[in-house]
Amino acid sequence: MKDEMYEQVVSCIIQEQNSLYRLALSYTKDRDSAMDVVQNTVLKALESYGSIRKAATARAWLFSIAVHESIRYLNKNRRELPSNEELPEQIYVEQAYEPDDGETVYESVMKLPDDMRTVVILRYYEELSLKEIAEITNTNLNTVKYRLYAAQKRIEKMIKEEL
Amino acid sequence: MRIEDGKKHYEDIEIPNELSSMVSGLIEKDRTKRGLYDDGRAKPSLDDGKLQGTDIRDGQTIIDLKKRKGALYMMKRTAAAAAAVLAVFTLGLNTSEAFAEGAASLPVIGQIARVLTVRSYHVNEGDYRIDMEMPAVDTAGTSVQTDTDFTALVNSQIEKIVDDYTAQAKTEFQEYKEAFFATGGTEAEWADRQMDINVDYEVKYQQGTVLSLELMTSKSWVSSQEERHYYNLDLVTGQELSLNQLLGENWKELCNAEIDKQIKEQLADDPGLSYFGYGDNELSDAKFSSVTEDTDFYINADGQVVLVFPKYDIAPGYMGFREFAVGKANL
Repeated sequence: MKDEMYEQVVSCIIQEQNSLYRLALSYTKDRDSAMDVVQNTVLKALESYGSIRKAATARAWLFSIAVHESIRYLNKNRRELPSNEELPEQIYVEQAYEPDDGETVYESVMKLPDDMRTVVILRYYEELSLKEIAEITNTNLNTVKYRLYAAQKRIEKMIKEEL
Repeated sequence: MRIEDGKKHYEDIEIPNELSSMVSGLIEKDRTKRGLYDDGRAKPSLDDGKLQGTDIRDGQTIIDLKKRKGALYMMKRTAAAAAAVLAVFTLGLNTSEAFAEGAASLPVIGQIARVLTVRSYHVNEGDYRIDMEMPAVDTAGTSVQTDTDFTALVNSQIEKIVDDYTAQAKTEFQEYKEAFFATGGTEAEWADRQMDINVDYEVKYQQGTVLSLELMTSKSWVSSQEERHYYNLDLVTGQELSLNQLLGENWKELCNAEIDKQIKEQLADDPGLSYFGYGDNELSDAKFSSVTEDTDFYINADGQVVLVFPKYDIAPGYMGFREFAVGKANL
């Protein structure tokens, strides 16, 4: 009676909900939209758990839905959002402390274009394999490797400019 | 500079409080839609004769009632001691209930007491499917001087818990039913919706003058809810045993250290598990802090004190009840 796959998906959703939210937030940049994306992701996952392929882990499959839903959400709600490079200068806040390297890096990652940032998050912060990331982002292994490389270069440049 | 260095900051992104309730709400709704209990087991339907009278006690086993009444089940009940067969006083809740056939088998606790099934019936009709096995402690017929007032008190407590639970479950279900139709639900949609009510017990330990008894009540419709009550009794002195008595004056430190250690071991063994305040849930404020006089426990067959934490208490709901054997009881 018990559908193992369904149960696996359910526990995976419960376990990964925070990660799904963070990933969605990296796209939407605002909390409520990220919640919407997570909601759509969970609904989609519960609805189509049968389509999960044996080879894929439930976790990677869940992230692929989240990425897809994030992009879909942005397309649907595309307002006149300038791309990240053209964002108006943020109001400068005098920092009471020196941001550590981690913080600087993290902020740089969040400023990457969507495709690079997603690969970075999935690889370094969610620790998925390159192969899984290729599947999630619907690209091939070389594209993933290239994006990681390009992201690395971009971040180095950003940090250098900031100093 | 390494990209990985940003990981901590990524993980520190604040998670909205509503996230987890939203996610569990979606899951619950989806289960309801699929006709699943929240343990993932399919809801029995009336068409499926095999499933009638299922045992939902531990949320895992589906035991055919017929099989349940069979040899295996009886063996389990009586394995601990040679059992005497006594007549069962069956006090029905109402006249339509089908009474269990024959006498239950009764484990004997040394020569001091028996745990009798004083109420036993299995009903499947209308709105309810009820599996009832209500215990009572009986010290009649022993030569040892026992505190009969005490056992009477325990028995009346058990009876009250069972009665209140059953009545409340029925009220809830009627309210649910009313709301269902009041909000435009149709007879066809209602179909064969039923509430399962289960009462059962297990003798956990029975040696000398000491009896450790677990009473379980559960109900399920949209989701299942389970309560467990524990009685750790000294039938001669007429008292409920405390953790202090069983584990010594350092019982708190002992229990807390043992629980912390076992949680860490469990998490290391199985990444699928989680506890509030540990690992990925490090920031949770519901972290286990300390046992108290009210922490539930029983004594297992090996004479170990086993602490019991209800669902949601120290771990996310999917973890269910959590039990920790913390050490030998001084008996």
